[in-house]
Amino acid sequence: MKKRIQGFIDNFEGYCCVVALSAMSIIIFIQVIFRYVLKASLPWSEEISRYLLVWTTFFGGAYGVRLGAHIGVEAFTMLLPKKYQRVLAILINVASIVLCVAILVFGIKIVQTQMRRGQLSPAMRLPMGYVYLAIPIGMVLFIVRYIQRIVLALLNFSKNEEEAGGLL
Amino acid sequence: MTALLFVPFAILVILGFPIWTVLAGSSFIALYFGSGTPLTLVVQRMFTASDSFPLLAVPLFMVAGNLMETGGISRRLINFCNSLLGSFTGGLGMVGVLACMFFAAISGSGPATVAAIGGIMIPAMVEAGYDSAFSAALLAVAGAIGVIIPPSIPMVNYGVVGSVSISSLFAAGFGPGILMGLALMAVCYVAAKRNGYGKLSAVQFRWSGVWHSFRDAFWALLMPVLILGGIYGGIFTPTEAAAVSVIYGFVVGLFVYKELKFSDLPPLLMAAGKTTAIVMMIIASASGFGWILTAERIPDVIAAAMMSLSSNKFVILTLINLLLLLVGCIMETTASIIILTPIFLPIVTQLGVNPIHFGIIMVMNLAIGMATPPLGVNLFVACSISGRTMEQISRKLVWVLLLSILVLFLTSYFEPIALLIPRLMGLIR
Repeated sequence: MKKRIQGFIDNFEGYCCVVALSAMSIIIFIQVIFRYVLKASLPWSEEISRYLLVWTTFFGGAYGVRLGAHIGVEAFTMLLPKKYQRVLAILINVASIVLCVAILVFGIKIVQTQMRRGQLSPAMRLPMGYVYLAIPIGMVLFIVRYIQRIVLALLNFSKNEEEAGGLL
Repeated sequence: MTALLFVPFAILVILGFPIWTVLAGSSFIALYFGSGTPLTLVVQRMFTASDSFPLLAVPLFMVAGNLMETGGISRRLINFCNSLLGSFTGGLGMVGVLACMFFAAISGSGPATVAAIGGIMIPAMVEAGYDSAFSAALLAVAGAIGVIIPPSIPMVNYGVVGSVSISSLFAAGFGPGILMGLALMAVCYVAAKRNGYGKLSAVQFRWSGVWHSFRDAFWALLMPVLILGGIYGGIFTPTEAAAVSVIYGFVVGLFVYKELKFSDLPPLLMAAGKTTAIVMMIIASASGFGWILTAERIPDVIAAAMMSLSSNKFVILTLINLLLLLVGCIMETTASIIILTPIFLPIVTQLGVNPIHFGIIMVMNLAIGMATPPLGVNLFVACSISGRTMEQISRKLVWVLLLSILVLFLTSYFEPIALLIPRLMGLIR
């Protein structure tokens, strides 16, 4: 039981992506069927799938942080000794948190503005503030995952890569 | 402000920061120190850029590709190709290349193609007496055809950034993709002849064998017909085609070939979600970066500098090709397309290059970059399949790469290779 809960927490954003991607595929497929077979276009299908993509971007992005999958140009850092590479990786994660905090702050500002103006989405009349929430919530997840990586990297600092279970 | 954008950009890239943080970070710095524009702009544009219907094709084609790989479709494509080419000298290698071409017509991703086809072909080639490093090198480059033959995720990205028709780009990918496949088959023939590869395997060519494997692969082969026929028959957009191929791959894998299980779906969708988000984070954060580039008229400055070197179309194309090949070696494909398209596209259109043609040139360059060290995603996949190191594979890459670069230059200087098919289809003038 404890293992399952841990597995869920570990892959939380991944599960969100599973739901969003399945929904997108089915909704757009239905859109084709409605337009081509039933000759009736759905007004909301395109809009909801676009918003699902936005949410997938920020949630999946946080999942990518947990897996260390956001890649940069490694051609130069490869030349450093292994130990410095690890220190640098931790520093990059710390700097990324600063960036995420900045995006979080401006994201909240945008959500507040949208809420105040009462902006609604064109087709579904959904308050745009809720759609924009993807950014602040996503950034909180990013920050949590970055902290997780830093802690894991520090705890396993002296071990080599295999012992750390590929989490470095 | 230009220096405020590019100095942090260069420093962060060299330090190895993830590309999306480089783009968002340097945009923040440039706006904060260099102008009165509110910083909200960067975040606002992150939203607007990811809120895009054409870009929905990216996750959907990735899911479709993953479904094919687990659903038994790739193995059937390989069997069909083997019945066609298996009897020739170097046949097994050619089978790998041809299977990559077929798989490319279903999937829009390079590494997915290497994983799906190379995962089966590299071990099979080694068993038949091929050198494992050569097999890995061949399949890594053949996987690059995955993004040249439509559908193609990099083409979707280029189409969105450059405001170019994605359907026309797709149509323009056939010629160069097929030419590159033929070039790789030629390399394989020569290598097999010289080193006696594949003596162990020779299958005999039989029409009945072709027929049997064709019947078995029928539902897999129908898929590209459905996807591309739907797009060019005006039935659906590329994004909708991607959704249709997800549902199709799911139904075929689950009910027809019965190799897909419901329990395969969550890990498969998670992997697709992760890869999508990585690409999308780059696109999202590049949007603010691109805004600053345009506001500062940086593309104009670079254009003027390049034009002062030469105003000959072929010289400029050669320069851009060399630069893109270099960039492709060290930077990830999406990031390169998103950052460089707004800079190069205005230059080449001024010189009379068709934007569709340039899109193909750009995608080919970066596709080759996927198979070159040090940062080649296809190579990473090929390394892990073959169990050989990057260095061992790189030594065998020389001829395979040279021939692909030759095809790239032919396509750059001889426009009809790319544009003949979309012209015949009436997609462009």
